[in-house]
Amino acid sequence: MNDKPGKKFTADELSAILNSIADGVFTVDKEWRITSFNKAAENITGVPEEEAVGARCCDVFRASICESDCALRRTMETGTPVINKAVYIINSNGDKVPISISTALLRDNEGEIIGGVETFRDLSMVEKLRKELHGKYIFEDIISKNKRMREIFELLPMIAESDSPILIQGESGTGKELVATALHNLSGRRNHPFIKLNCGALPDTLLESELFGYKAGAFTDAKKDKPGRFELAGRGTILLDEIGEISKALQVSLLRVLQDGTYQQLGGVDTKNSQARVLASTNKDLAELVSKGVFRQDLFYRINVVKIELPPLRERKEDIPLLAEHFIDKFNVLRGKNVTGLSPEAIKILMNHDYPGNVRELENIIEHAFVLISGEIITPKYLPGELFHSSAKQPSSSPKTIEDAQREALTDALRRNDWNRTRTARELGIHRTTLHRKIRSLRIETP
Amino acid sequence: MKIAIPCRHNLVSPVLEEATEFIIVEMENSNYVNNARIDLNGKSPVQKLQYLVDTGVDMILCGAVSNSYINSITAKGLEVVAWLKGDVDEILQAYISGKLNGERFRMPGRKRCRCRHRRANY
Repeated sequence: MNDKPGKKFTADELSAILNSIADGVFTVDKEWRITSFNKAAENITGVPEEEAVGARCCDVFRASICESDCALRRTMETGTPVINKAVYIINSNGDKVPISISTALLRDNEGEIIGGVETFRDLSMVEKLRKELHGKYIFEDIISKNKRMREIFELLPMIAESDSPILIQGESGTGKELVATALHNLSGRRNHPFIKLNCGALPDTLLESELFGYKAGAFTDAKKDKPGRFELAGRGTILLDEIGEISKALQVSLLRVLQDGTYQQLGGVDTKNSQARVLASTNKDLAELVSKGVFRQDLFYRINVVKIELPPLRERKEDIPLLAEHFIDKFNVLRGKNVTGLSPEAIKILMNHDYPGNVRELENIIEHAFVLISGEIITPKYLPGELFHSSAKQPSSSPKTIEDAQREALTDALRRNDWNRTRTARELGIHRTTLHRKIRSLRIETP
Repeated sequence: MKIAIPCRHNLVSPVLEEATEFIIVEMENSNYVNNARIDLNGKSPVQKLQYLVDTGVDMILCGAVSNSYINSITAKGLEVVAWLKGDVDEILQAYISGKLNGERFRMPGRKRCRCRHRRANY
């Protein structure tokens, strides 16, 4: 009889079953006192069963939601179970442990509610793997999983070790200064100064005295000698930002530094030596400035020994969720908030925007949301209004063939889904294999 | 001396970082001088700690607390007696009479109450 399905288990058998489960399980009575506590629960919380049973559940479980939003309380009041809610608990060692919890009502044989049951799973390992994966996409302080950016990451250590001048080209806000900082930090000059100067911000005469310094008496009010940036950089690195803005006269002096490593201070007679490595950056196309005659060709060739071209954010949209997450972490620390992420609708809006201001614009969008937000998730209502106008796609120049149109539609769909093919196929209502075949036949380049 | 206790109704809050309400007791020679309840709902753990520092709190009696948060608290020069459970008034009385180490107020799973004292180096 006893071997028939549906047999009643004894208390010992029940406890053996509970203890064999990998998830933590505990039950409470209506007074919130713990009535059973399995082995996995002991391991995750660090509380032995004999101490847990009979104690108030919040004193044992110590979860972030015990205070304000107890899942078990909600289930006991409404009868609706909570499934896989991510929270953290503090274990007996004082460590924060990320877990996911699920709750349900506990009824007796007559169907009367006698308490609640909570199951929970340790997410520490998942969290650790997530962080490791995230770490894979970070190089120095630059975050990207884009193919072109990853190629740059691979080249940077080699470029950094050489002593050649480097030209970093990219639209405003693409991270030129971050690349320059990475180059300095990866080079043998990392213990020497890293000097930055924005050439576009200063008038010509001032720029010259900033770069090369001046002697006392060089001009009115030049009461004592002032060292220039080249001198301050010593054996370090100097970054000339917006190099395309400097005048032709100054271009000659700069060419001399790059060619011979020598320069003269304003009002000085001695020739000084510079041992600094020069990095130049610009948001303009220098080759075009050369063809227009605005930029000296010889200086261009001198600077352009190695060129790093940073793609604009609209060409590496797969990085948007990653970057948004990074900025959320950053502003959580700066603003003392606890924002956990973006809602799927908000991500969609961010993915549809074209970002003329690139990564800096994305950072500003997240900062904007942080000013307004009161909850934990950034929803579309916290995003700046201009995103909604731009997300309506402008009718582009019409594609020539059906193949072009298909390629454009598929690329858009892939981008929207963060290049995840399974999700893209689901969105388009086609099979994954069909999508793969289309990608191959239409020669769509995926990162 | 000012003591802050995170609480929910009359019981000590289970997790200090997540507490929304605090009782702040001012004491002079083992007697209460003042007793106030403050609401810090919506503030982050960092903001809550700064509020307590600005209010002139010297000591926190609380329930569970993470090691990293306990380090931030002691770095600000506050004393902490953590891993306490039970009724706030009883805990205060026990603290005054020096009986806080009793089994009664100890959270399950902890061998003894964790007391950390450090003065800030301003």
